[in-house]
Amino acid sequence: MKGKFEINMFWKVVVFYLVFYYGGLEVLFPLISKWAVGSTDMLHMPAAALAMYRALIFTGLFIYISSSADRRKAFMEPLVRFFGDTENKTLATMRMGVLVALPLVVGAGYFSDGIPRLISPAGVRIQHPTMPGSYEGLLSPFRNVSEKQVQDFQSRKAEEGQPIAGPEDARKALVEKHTREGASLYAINCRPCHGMQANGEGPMARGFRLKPANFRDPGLLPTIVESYAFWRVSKGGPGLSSAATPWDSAMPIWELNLTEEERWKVLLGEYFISGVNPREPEKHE
Amino acid sequence: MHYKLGNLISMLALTALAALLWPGQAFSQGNRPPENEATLAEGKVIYFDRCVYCHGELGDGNGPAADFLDPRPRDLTMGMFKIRTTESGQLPRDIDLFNAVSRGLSGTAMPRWELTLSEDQRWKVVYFIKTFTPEFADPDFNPENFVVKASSPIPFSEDSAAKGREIFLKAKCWECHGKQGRGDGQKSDTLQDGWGFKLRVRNLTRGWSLKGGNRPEDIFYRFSTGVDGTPMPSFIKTLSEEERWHLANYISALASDKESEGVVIKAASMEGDLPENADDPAWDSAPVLKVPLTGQVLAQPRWQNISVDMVEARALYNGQDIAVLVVWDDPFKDTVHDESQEIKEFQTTYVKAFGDIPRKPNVFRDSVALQFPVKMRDGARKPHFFRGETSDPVNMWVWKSDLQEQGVNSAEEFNAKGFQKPLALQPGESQQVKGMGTWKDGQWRVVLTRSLKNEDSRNDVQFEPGRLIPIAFNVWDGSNGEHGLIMSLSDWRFIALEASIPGSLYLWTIVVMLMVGLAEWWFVRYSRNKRKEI
Ligand code: HEC
Ligand code: HEC
Ligand code: HEC
Repeated sequence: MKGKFEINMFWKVVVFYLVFYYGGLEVLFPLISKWAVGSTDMLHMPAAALAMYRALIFTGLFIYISSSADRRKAFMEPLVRFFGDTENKTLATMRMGVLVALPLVVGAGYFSDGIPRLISPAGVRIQHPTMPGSYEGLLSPFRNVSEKQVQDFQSRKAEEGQPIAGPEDARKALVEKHTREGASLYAINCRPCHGMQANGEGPMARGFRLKPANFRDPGLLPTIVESYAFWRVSKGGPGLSSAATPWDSAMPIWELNLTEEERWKVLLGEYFISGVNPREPEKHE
Repeated sequence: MHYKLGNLISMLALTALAALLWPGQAFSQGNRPPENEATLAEGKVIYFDRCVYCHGELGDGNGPAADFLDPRPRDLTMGMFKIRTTESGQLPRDIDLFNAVSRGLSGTAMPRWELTLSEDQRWKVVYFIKTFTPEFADPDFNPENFVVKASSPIPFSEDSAAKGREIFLKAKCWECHGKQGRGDGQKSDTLQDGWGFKLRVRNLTRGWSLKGGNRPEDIFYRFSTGVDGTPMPSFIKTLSEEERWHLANYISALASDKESEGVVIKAASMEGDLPENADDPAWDSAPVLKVPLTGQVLAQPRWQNISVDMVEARALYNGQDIAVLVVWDDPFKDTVHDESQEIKEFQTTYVKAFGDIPRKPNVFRDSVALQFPVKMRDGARKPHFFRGETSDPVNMWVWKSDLQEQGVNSAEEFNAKGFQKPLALQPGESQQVKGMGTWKDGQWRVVLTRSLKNEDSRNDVQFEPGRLIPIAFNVWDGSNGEHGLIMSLSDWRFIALEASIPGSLYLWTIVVMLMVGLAEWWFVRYSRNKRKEI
């Protein structure tokens, strides 16, 4: 004889299933992934994955129960007691309820699954696909200024009557000048979408479902090298591979309207306005 | 791939750090720094880092981005300000400037600086921009002496808003703003602002286009103080404070900024003929999708000074045809088109706000286009939302007001293979879309109708129930100078005809239920036998 308050096998299995399936997959997983990705929405598991996990938990439990005769018996016992009973009146009413409800619940589930529904083909978008090799390792000619550029700048300044003494000061002043010019180019060309605050909220951003990149997002600009940004600015949305849904990207193909120099310069402005420094290219050993 | 686990971890760490620091950044009141030489110098640095591109080195509103913007960046040297709590013609208080800089002027290029500048920084830059207008230093002009009183606000209620509507009519706001508030009260398009540039009367039904905010307390001040530098007058002398609060409540209810959730135009099915007319009550049964539009700023000629920033779309279908109704606000009805005035060559990446294109009535037509992919696919893949691609064309249904005026069918069908190629008009026999538009009270309502399917599946979209069919919109406001690629556009939304429930589903559901019943019967029998053994 079992103790009165001992939970039997059947209910253990039921509770385990509910906790794992609903608690784990339907609540905990979306919460964790929401936190991990920093998204504002709950990220639900794709239906296919959910069905797979459900099947896994189910088979696991099945094997667990059926692999031992004791467990099988312990599991079946309350079921047999309930369904095989022929004397108890209250049990009979409850049994009737269960027997009627079960086909209805299963039927309703089957029916509602079968109603044709519009499933939006939303996939996962890859924000940063690999850039073409020809852009790999390019360096900004306006940030990494050559000695000759600095000397020319120094002599031009001297002619204008504003000489700069040290070459290091001159280099800084030259890059500063390029940055100012780039920021103006940014304000004219990129601001309508990416915004004067580089937060992706320019006045033209409202209508785009794939939002203009927020350059203040720590997961974005700081993670790409400047040549990557140069590729994106040159080729725009249409230059992306299909994993990055080019058909939804409003990012223009700037090589059509800005010269190569302007495209490098506008990046100096973009980084300045965003308040981030470009990521250092990795050293290849 | 450039992205490694390390990046993810550092990103997570940064996010966590930001979350920790956040409360410390909360802007507390009373943080106002003193106004002295040191804070002015700091304000100057902020101005030259953040504001100079628009307001210019001299504060005269002539920064490098200025020519492309309507309204132009403010000339800060003239002491004329729109967002004030002071009487008409007076300087703004410091707090007015601070609020304008913090919240930005919605619907214009002036950003909401509270998103990236601290309260301290915003005060300092306000101190600095005051130095452009010498009157700020003159005690005779001290704005604190001219503050408009708002002593007893009336909280919002339907009742108060209804009273406000009466006052809107009595005070003749509609002479400029139109009976429905859509900014269509003026017959001619000749208004100018105090700086000599053309301007339009505001559409008050667009919450996001109210520069000073769309809360009752914001709106109360706008028409109490007037919007200096524009024809928008002050009503402080003609309306009592109580009347002005009711009016403010009315306008704040009018100025909605609700956007549609979702992205699907759900076409409603109906029996019998589809409505040809936009005013047919049958349209009420179809759900509305509000689709925000932006300027076409993807390719030259880029245009950011659009007048149409939203369309409302709905659709009806029967066994044969589908009809789409598109509704948008446009204060002037333009029904002619002069091709010789179309501009083909542009010097700059963006079209200049004034001077590049003729922004006046009777030059270009009003028009709308619906865009669909030609090839239907199951995955996410689509042609590019801006006119498709060479390998992946789009089908366009273009409605033109001038054609309608001429009494011919007002809709034309085109194909496009990317924005770099001109639209290709389909041959006569392929022209199957019918159009019908009406303009009333500053609003176009246009119906476009076609058969669900046709023979021309190589060039035309085909409608199939149960499918999400991508749809995008282009809109042109002729008197705003719009033509060609100078237009408003949307990216992809979807249109769907709801599929009906197949009869087999009912049958299979019954079979499934019977099978469950059978299993139950077996299990009960089995349990009764087992039970005896226990
Ligand atoms: C028409 C709106 C629009 C304009 C104008 C625009 N962009 Fe973009 N940009 C986007 C959108 C939308 C994205 C995000 C989708 C994508 O990655 O293609 C983006 C993405 C980017 C990215 C990729 C960021 C990342 O890490 O993935 C860079 C870099 C960029 N833009 C730079 C610029 C620069 C520089 C300019 C001005 C010369 C500019 N953009 C102008 C819309 C625009
Ligand atoms: C992208 C361009 C742009 C930038 C950058 C910009 N502004 Fe403006 N600003 C505008 C425009 C455009 C207006 C005029 C809007 C109107 O007249 O309706 C304006 C108006 C103003 C006004 C007048 C508000 C009123 O009540 O009339 C002030 C003050 C102002 N800006 C301050 C600043 C400050 C301070 C900064 C920098 C922190 C700044 N702006 C940066 C575009 C800009
Ligand atoms: C003479 C024409 C005229 C009349 C009469 C008029 N308005 Fe205006 N109103 C305008 C114009 C022009 C603007 C746009 C100003 C701008 O561009 O900054 C405007 C703007 C507004 C705004 C928007 C302010 C903001 O924050 O952007 C409100 C609210 C408004 N009017 C309310 C009213 C009310 C209420 C009345 C009647 C009591 C009224 N107007 C009467 C011409 C008028």
